[in-house]
Amino acid sequence: MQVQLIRRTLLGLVLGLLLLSTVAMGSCSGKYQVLLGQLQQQAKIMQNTDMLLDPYIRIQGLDKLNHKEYCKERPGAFPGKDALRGLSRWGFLQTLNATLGLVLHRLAAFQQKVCNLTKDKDQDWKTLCQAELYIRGIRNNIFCLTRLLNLNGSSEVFAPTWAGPRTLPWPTPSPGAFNRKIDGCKFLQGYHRFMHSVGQVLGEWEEGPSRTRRHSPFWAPQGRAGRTRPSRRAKRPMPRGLLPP
Amino acid sequence: MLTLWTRVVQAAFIFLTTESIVPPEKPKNLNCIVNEEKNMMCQWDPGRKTYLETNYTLKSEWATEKFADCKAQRDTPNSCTLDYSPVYFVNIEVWVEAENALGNITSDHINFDPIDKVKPNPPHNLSVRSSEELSSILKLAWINPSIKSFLRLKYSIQYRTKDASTWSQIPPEDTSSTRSSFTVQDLKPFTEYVFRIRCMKEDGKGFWSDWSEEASGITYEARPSKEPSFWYKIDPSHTHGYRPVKLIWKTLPPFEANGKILDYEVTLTRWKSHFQNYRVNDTKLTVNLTNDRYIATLTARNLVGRSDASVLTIPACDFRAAHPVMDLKAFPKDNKLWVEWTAPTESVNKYILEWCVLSDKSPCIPDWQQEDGTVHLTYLRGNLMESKCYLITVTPVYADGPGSPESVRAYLKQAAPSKGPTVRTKKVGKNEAVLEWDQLPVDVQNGFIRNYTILYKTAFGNETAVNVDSSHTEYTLSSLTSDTLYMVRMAAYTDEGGMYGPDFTFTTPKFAQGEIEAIVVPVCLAFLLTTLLGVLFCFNKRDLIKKHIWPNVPDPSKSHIAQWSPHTPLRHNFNSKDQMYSDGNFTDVSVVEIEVNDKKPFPEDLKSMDLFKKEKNSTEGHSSGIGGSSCMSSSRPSISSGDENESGQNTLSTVQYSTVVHSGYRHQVPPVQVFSRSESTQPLLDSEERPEDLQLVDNVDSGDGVLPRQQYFKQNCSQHETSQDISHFERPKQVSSVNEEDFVRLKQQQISDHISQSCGSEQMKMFQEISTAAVFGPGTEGEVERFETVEMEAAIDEGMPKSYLPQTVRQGGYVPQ
Repeated sequence: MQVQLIRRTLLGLVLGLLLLSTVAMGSCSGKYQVLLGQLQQQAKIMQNTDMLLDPYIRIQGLDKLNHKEYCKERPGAFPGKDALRGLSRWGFLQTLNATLGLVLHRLAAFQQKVCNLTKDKDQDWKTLCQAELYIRGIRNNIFCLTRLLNLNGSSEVFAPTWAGPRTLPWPTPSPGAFNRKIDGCKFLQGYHRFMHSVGQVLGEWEEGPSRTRRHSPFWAPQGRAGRTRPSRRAKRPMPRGLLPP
Repeated sequence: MLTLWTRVVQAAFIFLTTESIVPPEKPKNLNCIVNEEKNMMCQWDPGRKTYLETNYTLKSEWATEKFADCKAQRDTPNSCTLDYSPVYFVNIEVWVEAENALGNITSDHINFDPIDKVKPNPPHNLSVRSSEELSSILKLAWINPSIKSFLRLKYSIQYRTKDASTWSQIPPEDTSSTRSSFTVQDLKPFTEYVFRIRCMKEDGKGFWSDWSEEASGITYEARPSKEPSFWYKIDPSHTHGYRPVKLIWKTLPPFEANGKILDYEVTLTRWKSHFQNYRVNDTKLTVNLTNDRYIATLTARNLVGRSDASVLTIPACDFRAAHPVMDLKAFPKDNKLWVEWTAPTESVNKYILEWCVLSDKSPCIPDWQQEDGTVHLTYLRGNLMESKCYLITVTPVYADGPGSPESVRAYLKQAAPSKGPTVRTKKVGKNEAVLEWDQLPVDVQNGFIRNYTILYKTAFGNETAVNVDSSHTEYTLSSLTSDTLYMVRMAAYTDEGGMYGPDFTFTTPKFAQGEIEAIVVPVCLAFLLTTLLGVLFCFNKRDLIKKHIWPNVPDPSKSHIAQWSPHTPLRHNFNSKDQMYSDGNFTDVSVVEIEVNDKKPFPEDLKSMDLFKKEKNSTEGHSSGIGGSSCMSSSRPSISSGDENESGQNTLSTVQYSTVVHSGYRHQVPPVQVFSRSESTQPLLDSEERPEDLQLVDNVDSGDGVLPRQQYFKQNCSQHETSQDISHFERPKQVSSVNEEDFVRLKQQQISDHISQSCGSEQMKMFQEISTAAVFGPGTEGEVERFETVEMEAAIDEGMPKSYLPQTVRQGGYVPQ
């Protein structure tokens, strides 16, 4: 137990030093409410299916079907609202960051396939690209908020993250291209629902960053916190944390 | 390394040779704008010109990643548009790097959320709907821009009436939240309004969108809000018992009509119970009214309702208007013609303002407007023109009828006259000239003539300017130079400038009027006075003059003449003549040949004698003093001497004169021929023995009849034949003693003789000269004398027989020849 405490302390110290070096960039807003509001707005934007699902459906030609029937979220693919509420801020941010990384990964794979098929990038394609940029922006704000929380000495840095499914819902081997399209559709449906939940949870974060956490229980896998620090050198921040590279 | 050194050397060379080549300045005022659905554009102030190729690079990054650089175009080094769409709600850091051969520099970094720099697209599909329930509202609806999904919007809504140019603003607090419709209230009925809308981020960060396209709508009709303006005109040429009254009114303006006016209703009330109703679509109504008092009412009607009634009292025929407005004045202001007056003490219902353009070419066509009774300052709401003179009349309207009108003239905007006055001279004097001109016609005045300026100059002189009050139409230029050409031009000035009329020239005379008369008349008077004084002096001093001029002739009356002719009656038989001669007046001794003429009465002869005597007195006694007729011829030798003085002196003391009294003057036959013999030792003239040689000049006779003297001249002309019965005598000096009338007669006769006897011209000429000499006084005496001598010599030269001719009497006595 004591050894575990020492390890945690050391890891927190190292993470803090790394975050300090990132602050020197100065691109993050130093105000918690601003960052929180930005995240709320981003979650609001991303819960709108216009950003991803609808273009995806149109691109994949699923709009002729009753996609509402087919594109139902696969249960357990994304954390539920309650699960998110139960996380600490740090855990919540880690979970969000990891989930967005997963989405970016799927989008990257999708874009590669679609780029081969779609020569002229129409508006839906542009929307997908814009959505990808927005997701990266969310992750930027998560980074900034996490750093802000750490600078304020919150002990939530070491709070546990969501321990949901460790497997990628996509690309799950499924027979046929149609099923793959349906899988992607279900995935995006789940993503929008997830972002809606994120927005709701963030809406509950009205108090300042030093508020006592009232959510429980939290656990975080030891040694994973250090991986939440984004690399400034990375052109495209890849989802880390819960998501596999 | 070599390249680096080369650049350094180049930069150093450029820096040393050219002052203006400098490293880039730090870019300032960096700012970015995010146009919705477009990329973000940033602008900055690049600073001073570097005169070097300078690259400006816009850099941007998030906390987690960098974005591609944006390089400014060379022609727009102060802005750059990013290639990617900005991500809202993520702070981005932006800065500019400037670099050229002399160095590089970075601007300040700015960090912002792109959503705070957004300029939304304007709302679109703006529509306007009216409400039948409320004529004062319009409902707006629009579609928000797509950015509404990202942020909350606020709006700015503006509106105006269709014909207005300025916009009204909906209060911002009413449109501070996201919406897609709005109801505009407090609008005017039946009025077309135009709307536009824009939006921006609700918190005010960012930029307003552009204005949407305009949309218009018309509010629903309402009852006319005001009664029409109402007035009347009475035709002065009214028929017996009736008067044509023209009722006129103005159409209500749209903001008062509140709808389309369908018609007007006019009601005339003569007595309280007598009504006449008219429904008129026009704005005038002519009715024949009696001379009684009438009450006229007017209402306007539209689809919704009827206006209030406009009431007008048309007074009876014998009504006398009174109580005009006071202190009426009109003035232009803000391109309007304002009229101001002081209200009468009586209560005024309303005022009627009438105006028209004053012109000499067209009649005054009045326009009018009505003002409330509380108004005392308003402007004319007509289509007024500049530079036109308006006659404005204000009439107060009382309950019992109109008051007395008051008028004033005014201009909306004055200008310089379009023509100048034509000046002319009314009177030109030696040193002054009275100029006059006519008032400019009102059509060319273009304003109130404030003053005139007269410019005048001579051909080479400086121009002189004189300002004359506008009330004058003539002016006197004084201190002019006489006999000088003046050029005059004249300008009329309004408040806005002046205009010169045509040039005019005049010349001042050399003499003033009456100046010549003032000189000539006094001179003439002085001359006359001098002459008169001379005459008077001569008259008063005639004795002295005579004494100095006339010769001292011995008094023949004191001489003793022996009676030598036995045929001659005694001397004392001379009767009265004897007395006449004895009075001493008979100073001259003349040889008179008495011509027998029975036709002449004796008394006249006496007169002639008397006259003859006077003449002799008044002239220098120049008779020859040589008497003798043919019958007096004597064999005594005559003494002739060329030296007159000497001979005169000699003869004065020694010669006695014989006197022959001539009683047959002027063809009068003396009753008795008297011969007196002088005891003088004066030798008789040779001519006495040869009377045919005598040349006689008779200065008296001017009769038409053939006179013996004329015969003499003829004979003399014939030279050699001499009749005995033709008397002739020579009295050259007596000629001069005759009055001028006689001289003229003589001349006439002489001329006639000259014509008929060209060969006798010599004698005539001599006679004339003698006569002239005698007339013009002693000054010419010598000449005459000389002339006679010449004649004598001529006669001698021609071989004529020598004779003794009477000689000119010199001062101091006769000079016998």
